[in-house]
Amino acid sequence: MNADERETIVAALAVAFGPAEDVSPAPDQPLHVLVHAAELPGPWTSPARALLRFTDWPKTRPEFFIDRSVVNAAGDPPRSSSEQAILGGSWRQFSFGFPWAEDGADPVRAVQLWLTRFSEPT
Amino acid sequence: MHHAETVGRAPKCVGSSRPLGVDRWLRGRRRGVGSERVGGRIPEAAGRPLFLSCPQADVGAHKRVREAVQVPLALREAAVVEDPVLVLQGVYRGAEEVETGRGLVAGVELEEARLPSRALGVAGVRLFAYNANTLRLGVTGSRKIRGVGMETTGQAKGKAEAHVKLGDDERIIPAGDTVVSFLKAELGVDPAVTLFLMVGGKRTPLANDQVIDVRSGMHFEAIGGGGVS
Repeated sequence: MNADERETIVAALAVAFGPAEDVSPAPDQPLHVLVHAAELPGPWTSPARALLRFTDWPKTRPEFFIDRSVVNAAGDPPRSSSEQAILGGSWRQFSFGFPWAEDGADPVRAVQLWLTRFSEPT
Repeated sequence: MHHAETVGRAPKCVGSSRPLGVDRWLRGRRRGVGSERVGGRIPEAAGRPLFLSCPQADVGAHKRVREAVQVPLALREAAVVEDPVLVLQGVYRGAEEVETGRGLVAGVELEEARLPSRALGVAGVRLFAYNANTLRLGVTGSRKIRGVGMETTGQAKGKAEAHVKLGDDERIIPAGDTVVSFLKAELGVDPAVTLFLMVGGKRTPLANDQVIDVRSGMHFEAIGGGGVS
């Protein structure tokens, strides 16, 4: 992924989900995008930081991590989730499957699909 | 809503009917059959979404025009109706008790109760009574009804229409405060999808129990297809 592609993705995510920045550790590393205040549907903690890692984009969907503080009304994190150390911080990764196709891959749509996970209350 | 035209038959109530306070109504319910199903209370002050749902119901029939339907009912306040097949939205007006000859029945009166008729092909509805286990409603149209959820909001829906977009499609739906799960039905989208409100390119996911003021110019996206593995 070249610099222009990285910039385009970050800009698109910023329009759709608010302030976003490229926090990739190095230009030759996969693009990492920090979304500072992603809105989640209730009952989940919102807004919340989200981190995306674009490895092998667009063949595969970006990985999605959410701030560890995100919990539901019962104070529980998303089920089937685990903590992951990324870029020196601790994030929560959760299991969520959705169909993905390289053709027409859209980073905004990818994040929306990830966010649909939070339509479930647990 | 033309109640007189849409209801098959009125409930048969024997004896007196008198106003009943909400708290008293609930106390009565707690003593009665099915009281364990009560997960909330009817708000004295209108303004909050109220869900009366029976997602487990299966009346399993193609109901004819002007036929009354009775379905099991559970009462929850401000809870998500899980995959309702039908969702009603109305305006809570009050509660009363009626003596049916087979015991006391607590009822809730709604006005302007309505179905998402465009989406579901049901022309109209009137709620006229329920007790701890039963919601009785009249529907018009022909639709297989597998479950019913009822939601009330404290504000009457205006008669104005809103021209909104769902993706690239134009839709005309009733304007005013609308519970998101009801809005999904009016937009004709699967209850399982997540609805996003788009404002200037910004996407905000909407929770099912959220109430939004639907106005012309709003743009929604329905996103779904995923599942926790």
